[in-house]
Parts: sequence; C-alpha cells; structure tokens
Amino acid sequence: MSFTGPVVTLDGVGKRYGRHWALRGVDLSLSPGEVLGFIGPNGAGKTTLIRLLAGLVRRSEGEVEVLGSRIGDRGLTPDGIGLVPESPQFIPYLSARRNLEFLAAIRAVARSAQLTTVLERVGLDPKDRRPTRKFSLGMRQRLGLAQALMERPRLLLLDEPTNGLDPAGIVELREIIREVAGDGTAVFMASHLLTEVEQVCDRVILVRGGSILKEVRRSEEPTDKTVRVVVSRDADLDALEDWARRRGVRLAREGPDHDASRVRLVAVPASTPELIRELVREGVDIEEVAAVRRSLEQEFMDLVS
Amino acid sequence: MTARLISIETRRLVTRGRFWIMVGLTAAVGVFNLLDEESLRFGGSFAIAGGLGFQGMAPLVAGVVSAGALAEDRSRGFPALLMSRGLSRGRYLAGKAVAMALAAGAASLVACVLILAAGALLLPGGEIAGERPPGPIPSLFAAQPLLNDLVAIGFLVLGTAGLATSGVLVGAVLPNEYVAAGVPFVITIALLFLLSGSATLLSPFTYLELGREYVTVLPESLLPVGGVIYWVCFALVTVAAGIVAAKWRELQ
Repeated sequence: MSFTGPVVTLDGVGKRYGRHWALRGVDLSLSPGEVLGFIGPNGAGKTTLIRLLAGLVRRSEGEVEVLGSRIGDRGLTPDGIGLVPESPQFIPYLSARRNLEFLAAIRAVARSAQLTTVLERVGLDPKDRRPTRKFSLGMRQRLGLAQALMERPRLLLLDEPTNGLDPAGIVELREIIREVAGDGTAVFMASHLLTEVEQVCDRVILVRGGSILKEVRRSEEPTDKTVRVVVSRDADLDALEDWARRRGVRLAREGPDHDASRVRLVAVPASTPELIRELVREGVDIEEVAAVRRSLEQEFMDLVS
Repeated sequence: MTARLISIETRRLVTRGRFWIMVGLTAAVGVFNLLDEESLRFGGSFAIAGGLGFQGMAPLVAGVVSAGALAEDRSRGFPALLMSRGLSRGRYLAGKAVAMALAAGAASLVACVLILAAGALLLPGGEIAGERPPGPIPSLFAAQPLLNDLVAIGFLVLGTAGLATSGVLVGAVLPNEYVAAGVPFVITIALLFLLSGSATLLSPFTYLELGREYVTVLPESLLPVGGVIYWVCFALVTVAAGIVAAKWRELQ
C-alpha cells in the first residue's frame, strides 16, 4: 500500500516517567521519502520518541499518528515499521541468517532469497554460520539494520545507527539510508553525531531536555546569513565594529589568524558583493572574505549555550 | 502471529541443549528412585514412590528449560523487534507463556516416558505392595494402578508447565534470566516451609508430592481434579499478573 499523507504526525506529544518529562510538547510531521534527524545530547528524549513512534511506550499527552493509525491507545502498531534499536542484540547461538529467519517466520514475511539480498545489502555474508555472539558491535548493528529492512518498511526508525560502525560502515549506512528514502520510505534517525546527521538528513530537529529547540531544513538557505571577514589592522577592525553596530549586524570574533583578525558577521542584510562594496566605502581594508554556511554543530552550540 | 510465535518459540526452547540435559537428569533421578524402592511394581511405581523425585525436579526443569526465556529475551531487547511489528504486549506475553509452559511440560513428559520405559524393563509385574498412601487417586490405584500412574504423570507434566509460567511474571518485572530460572524452585521450597495447616492447599509442593502430601491435604472428592485446577489457576494468575506488570511497566 503506497502512502501519500504524512507518515508520522505528532501533535503536542509528551511522555512522562513519574514526575520527569522525557518529552514535552513535540509537534512534527514526516513525509514519505524524507529523512529526519533528531539531534540532542544524552537524555534529550531521542530514544523515548523512537519508542513512542514504534508503539513501545504510551504517550502521556498529545496525539501520535503513524502510517495512518493512532498509536498508544491499545498498544498496537501498524505494519510497515522497521526499528533499529540502539544496541541490537540477537539470539546469541544462532547465525545472522537464522536470526532473521526466526523473526521472519513469526511474522510470516520475507522469503529466503529476500533474506540473502538484505544481508548482502547491509554488508553481511549470508553464508556466515558464526553465531551472533561472536559478532562485533558493528556487525550486530548491520544485522539490526537488516532485520528492519527485510520487510521493506514504510517508516524506518534508527536509534544511534552509527554506534560501533567503522568508517566504511558509516559511509555504507549513509548510502543505504539514501537508497531507502529514494524508494519512498520515511526515515527517522536519532543521533548525537551532528556531522553524520547533517550529511544524510533533509531536515534536522535539535532537541534538549525533551523539547524541540529548533528545526533546520538543510536544503534552505539559512535565515541568518553569515560571512567571515579577515582584516589585519586595528583601525579596520574598529571601522568594522562601528559599521556592524550601525547596521545591526551581530559580530563575533574568531581569534587572530597570524597577523590578521578574523570576525564572523551574522545576519548580514545584504549579498556578499554588496557587503564588500559597503565595507570598502566605510574604509575597511579587507584581507579575505567568505560566505559561511553555519554547520549544524554551530547552530546547536549557539542554541544550547 | 501469536500462534506462529508459540510454535516457533516452543521449537526453539525444546531444541536447546539444556532441554535435553534436564530430561536426562530427571529421568536419571526417577530411575534411581525406581531401583531404590524394593516394593515397586511396574504399574503403580509413580504412585507409591510419590512421583519419583519430581517434587524436586519439576521446579528445576521448569526453571532451566523455559522460565527464564522472557527475561532472556528482554535482556536482549528482542520484544521490541516483535512489538514494533504489530504484536501487542499482551499477545506477546500470552504467546510466550504458552510456549514456556509447553516446553517445560514436554521436558517433564519425555522424562516420565523414559522412566516408564525403564520401569517396564527393570521392575517386576505382579502384586503391588507399599506402606505409603498411594496417590494421586487411591481408589484408581487399587483398581488400575497403571492408569493411576498416567494420571500422576499428567499432574506432574501440568505442574512443570505451570511452574514455568512464573517466568512470565518474574521476566516482566526483571530482565534477569537467572533470577527467573531460579524462582520456580525457590517458591516451591519456600512455600513448603512457610505454609502450614490448611494453607498447604496453596503450596506447589502439595501438587508435586503426589504420594503423601496430595492425598492428605486435599479432600477425597477433589483428588481427580485438584491438580488440574491448581496448576491452571497458578498459570492464569501468574500470566495475568505478568501481563498487567508488563503493561504497567511498558515492557520492551
């Protein structure tokens, strides 16, 4: 069944454990084929949100709709969810393939050929007979991904999927996520690795203390344009600061670079060529200028600091 | 999906090495007891020997074979993989409970069949003599001792299966396989010493020691069904409590 509406809709969702709110007032939606990153420090509520979406915990407030079904009232989740838990564990004395067969048999899904394909896709040898207790964390992570993909999910939930993966594994995971999203699967990825999320997600939600701090669309131009300007003389730096104050531009010093001072101009109200013309008119001798795209890490650090 | 879970999980539990180790141990204890009792005959051996050591072995079989299965799954995070695929918490636990009971009961049954086979080879036929009150149904023992033995086996198989379901309650609260595996033995022995008088009606030991406890504690009219009622109630209470605990604690 193809799904055209939002795969996930959260409306004012909160989850409380005793007196502690793990999540509060979360609103978001996720469309087919979209990759959404959920970034935050430990204890931010990332895993709780994944569990809510998978129907593993009940919401304390708000509404959760996944693949057209309301989640949480009867503890049932719809078909089409693939979940990769943070540290996937399997039946230790069975091989990777036998573990997948076991899960597939309970659900009566996925034929033998499909299991072979999905194991190869995540970089595991379908003929490997070693029990999974001999697997490294990275191999278990790959197997976790395989069990989530074997049913061709319409919503893929990934909780810290890069845990234990080597650099090649991380690159492969990125490719798999893009492939899966290309087939129309919505991907929800919780992580604390900002650079990983930045590279693969269409949209990123920054979260702390169970609340959404900011939503960032990676395809959009940032609303706050940032330009890095390097000047060498104190007089130029003074002139620059004077101009910034008059124009209402936020200015941040980045420290000296050899003999020059580097400053970051945030929320510049003009294009880069216009800015250069303006600064020249102000008598600022510019050594170097560059438009800077703020990294997710900078955005996150600005928000939490 | 629940039926498939029961079938696949039962197969998994009975193909583990520990299943066959417990079958062998239980059969060995039973055969040892057979040889120890000079008065035994093929028909009536279970009745006269009070279950041939099952009062001690059944809780161990239940614990080692399957009572720890839920806790083991939980410690691996396995339930989440099934419940995120549309299997409700209640159905998962119910399916798991049935599989655990079936596997433990099967271990007990295979051991009993081996003991019976050994009894057929080792014990003489003929008249039955014994000083103890023969359980579980003395009137049946007098008329058809072998059938009485089969009833005893039925009660012991049910008892082992029932004790295994304690793993659902323990596993729902604590994801520790070893604790869950030890609980059937601990509650059997603890209640044997803690309960006295009419309260021994609630003790699992009463329904495992069929030669003496069972016939002296239960009224005569209840002897043919007492074991069935007790173990069915035991299983229903522990599984229901386990499901309630799992839902309350949002088991994963």
